[in-house]
Amino acid sequence: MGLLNPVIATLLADTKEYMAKMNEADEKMHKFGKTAEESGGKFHKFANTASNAVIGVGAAITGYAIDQALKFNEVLDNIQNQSGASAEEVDRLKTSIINVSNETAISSDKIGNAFLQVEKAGMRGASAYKLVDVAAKTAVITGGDVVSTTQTLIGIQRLQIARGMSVAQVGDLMVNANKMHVGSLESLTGVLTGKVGGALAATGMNLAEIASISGVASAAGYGTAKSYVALATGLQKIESPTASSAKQLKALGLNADVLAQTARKPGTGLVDVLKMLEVQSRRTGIPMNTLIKDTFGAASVGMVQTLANNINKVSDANKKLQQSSGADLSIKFGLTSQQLNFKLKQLETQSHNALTGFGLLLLPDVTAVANFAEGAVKYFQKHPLVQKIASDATLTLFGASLAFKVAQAIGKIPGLGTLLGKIPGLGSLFKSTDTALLTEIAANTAATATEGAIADAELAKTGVAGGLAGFAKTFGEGALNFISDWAGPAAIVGLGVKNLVDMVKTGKPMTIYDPFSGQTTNGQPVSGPQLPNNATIAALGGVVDVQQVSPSTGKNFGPSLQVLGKQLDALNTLGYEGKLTRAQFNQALLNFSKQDQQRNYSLKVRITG
Amino acid sequence: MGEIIISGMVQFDQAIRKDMAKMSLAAKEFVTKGADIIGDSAKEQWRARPGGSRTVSKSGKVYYKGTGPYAARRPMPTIRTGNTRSSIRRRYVKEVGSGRWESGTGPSTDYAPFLEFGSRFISTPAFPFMSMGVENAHERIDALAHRLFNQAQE
Repeated sequence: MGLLNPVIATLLADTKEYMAKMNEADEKMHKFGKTAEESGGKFHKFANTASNAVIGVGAAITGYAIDQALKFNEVLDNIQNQSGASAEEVDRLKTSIINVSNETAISSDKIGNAFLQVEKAGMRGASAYKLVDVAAKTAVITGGDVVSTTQTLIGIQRLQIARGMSVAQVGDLMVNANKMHVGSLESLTGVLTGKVGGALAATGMNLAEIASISGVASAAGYGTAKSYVALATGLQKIESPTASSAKQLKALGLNADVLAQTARKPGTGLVDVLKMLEVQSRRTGIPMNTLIKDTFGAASVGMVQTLANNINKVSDANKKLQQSSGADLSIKFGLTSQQLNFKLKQLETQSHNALTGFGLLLLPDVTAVANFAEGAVKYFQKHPLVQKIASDATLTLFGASLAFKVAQAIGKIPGLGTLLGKIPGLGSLFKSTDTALLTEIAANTAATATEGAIADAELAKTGVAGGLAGFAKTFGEGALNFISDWAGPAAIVGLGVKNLVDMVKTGKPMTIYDPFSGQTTNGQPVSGPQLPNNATIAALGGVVDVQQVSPSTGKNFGPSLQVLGKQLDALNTLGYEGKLTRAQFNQALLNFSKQDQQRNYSLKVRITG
Repeated sequence: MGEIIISGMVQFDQAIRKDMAKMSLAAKEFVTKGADIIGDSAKEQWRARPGGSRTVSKSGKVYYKGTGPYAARRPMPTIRTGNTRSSIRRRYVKEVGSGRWESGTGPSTDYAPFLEFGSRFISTPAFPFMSMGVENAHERIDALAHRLFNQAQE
C-alpha cells in the first residue's frame, strides 16, 4: 500500500502567476499537468481547473458579457425568425425582456424564451408584455419555470376557461391553486391546460372550478390525465343525457334534464351536481357509489366519490379561487421580492443583465473591438517593459482572448459574418497562439484587465472622434488638482507635452531628460530625483518614447521624450496624432491625476521648460 | 531644458505591497474553500449502495454483494461500507512560496488509489471519483476564484 500514490487533488493559487504573462501561465499549466501525470495522478482536468482559477483571478466580466449578449441575441433572433415579429418589435422587446428580468430575477434568456412563446401565439405589444410579466411573477412565487407558466397562461386564454378574468387574476389563481395542489407545478399546469384542461373545459368548467377539483383530487393521489378525462366524460354524459340514461336516472329518482341543467352551470356545476346526488342518497337510501356510477359512469367512480366526500373542501377552494385578483398577485410578488434569497438572485440577475447590455454594446462594434485587441497586442509587443506588470499582461490576454472570442462569435451573428474579412490582421493574430488556451482564457479574463481594456477601448473609440468627453469618460469625471498643488495647469499649458511632441516632430533643438541615465540627451547631467528601479517603472506602466517618425521610412528618428505611465502614454499618443487640443490634453491630465488618487497612490509628473 | 520630476513612489510601493498581501490572503482562502468544494464534489460522485446488497451472516459478519444486480456501474463508484467516501476531506493548506498557496483534498483509506486509478483486478479507467469530483467542481471553483480575488482587488 505504501508504494501507492495517495489520491490527493491539489489546488494551487499563485498570485505571482496572476502577475505573469500569458505565456508563462501557459508553461505553468503544462508543467503542472506533467507533474500530476508523473506522480500517478490523473488530474489533467484538475490542472486546468487550478490554472484556470489562477488565470481567472478577477472576473470574466467581458467574456461573460459577450457570452450573455450572444445568448440574448440568439433569443431575439429566435423571436424574429420563429414568430414573424418585426425588427422594430424585437427591438422594443430588448428593453421589455431586460425590465421583466430585472424585476423578477429570472434570467433574460428565459424571459426571452417566454416572449418567444407569446409572440408565437400571435400576441404583440402591451398584451404580450403583460402576459410575460404575470407569468414571470407567478413563476417566482410558485417556484416554477417561466416558459411553462407562460405556455399555461396562453393555454388558459385559448381554452377560454378564464373569461372575464384579467391575466393578473389568472396568475393569482395559479398561485392560489398551486398552494392547494399536492404535486408539482407541472402536474397542475397539466390539469389546467392541454388534453386534460381541454376535456374539462369542454364540459363548461371554468378555471377556478378545474383548479379546485385538482386541489382535492391531487391530495387524494389522482394525478393522471386518465382520471381527469374520465371525470370530463362523466360530466359530458350528465350534460347530454340520452333517452336510456334519462330512464336509468329516473329509476334512481333523478331528473336527467334538471341534472344536466345544474351540471352546465359555469363555476359551480360539478359541486351542485354532487350536492344533488348526496341529497338524493340521503333521501332514498341509495348508496352514493351507485348514484355516481349511474350518473358519471363506472370509469370515474373513484375520483367523483373522493370529490363527493370532500365536497365542502371543493366548494371552499372554488370560492377562494374565484376571488383571485391581480392586486393579490402584486402583493404576493411584493412579499416574495422582499426575501433575502430573491434579493440576492435579483442582484445577480441585474448584474448579468447589465453585463448583457454591455456585451450588446460591444457586439455591433466588432471591428473596433477587434482592432483594439489587435492594437493592444501590438502595443505590448512594442513595449517590453509594460509587459512586466500584471494588469498589462492580463490586458494582452484580454486583447487576444477577446479578439478570439469575437472571431468565434462573428459567424453566429447574422449580418456580421462579412465583417470578418474587414478586420485587418485578425487571422494573423493567432498564428503563434494556442487557440485552446485562448478559449480557456476567453472565459476567464481578469477583471482588472477588463477595466483597463474597456478604458483603452473607449479611449481608442472616443479618441478617434477626438474628444475630451471620451477621454474624461475613460479616466474619470471630475477634476483633481494635482497640478495646482505645485504649479497649476499653467505649467502644462505653458509648455505642454504636445508642444514637446511638436518640438520632437519638427526636430527643433531641445534638451530631453533621459530617465534611465539620469542625463539629458545632450549629455549634460541634470539635477533632481532619480527614477525608481525598473520594477517600479514597469509597475507604473513603463516609459514611453515620443519620437519623430520619418514619413519616408516610417521609422522613429531623432531625439526622444520619455514619459512615465501607460495612461500618459495613451494621452501622448492622442496628442501626438493631433487628436486632442492642448486644452483637452491638459484637462485629461487633470482627470488622470484624479484617478491616480483613487488608486491610493500618487504619481506626479511635472514637465517644465 | 525639459525636466521630469516624479514623487509619490513610497505611497505607490505601499499600495502595491498592500495589494499583494490582500491577494495572498485571498489565495489562501481560495485554496481552503476550493479544497472543501472539491471534497464535496468528490463525495457527490458516489452511487448509493443498492438496496439488499448488504447481508449479515449468522455469525454477525457483514457482507456486501457486488455481483448481479448489485454490480458496480462505471464510472461512478458504489458505496459499500462508505469508509472511503466518508474519509474524503481537506488534508492540508500550506503556503508554498510568497503569494503561493496550496491545498490537498482526498480520501484516507488504503485502497482508495485502487478505486481511483485501477489495479490488476480493476481495469482502467476505474472509478475516478476524485477526478470526476474535480471536474464537476470546475464551475464552483472558478466562481469562488472570481469572487475572492475580485474582493481582494476592490
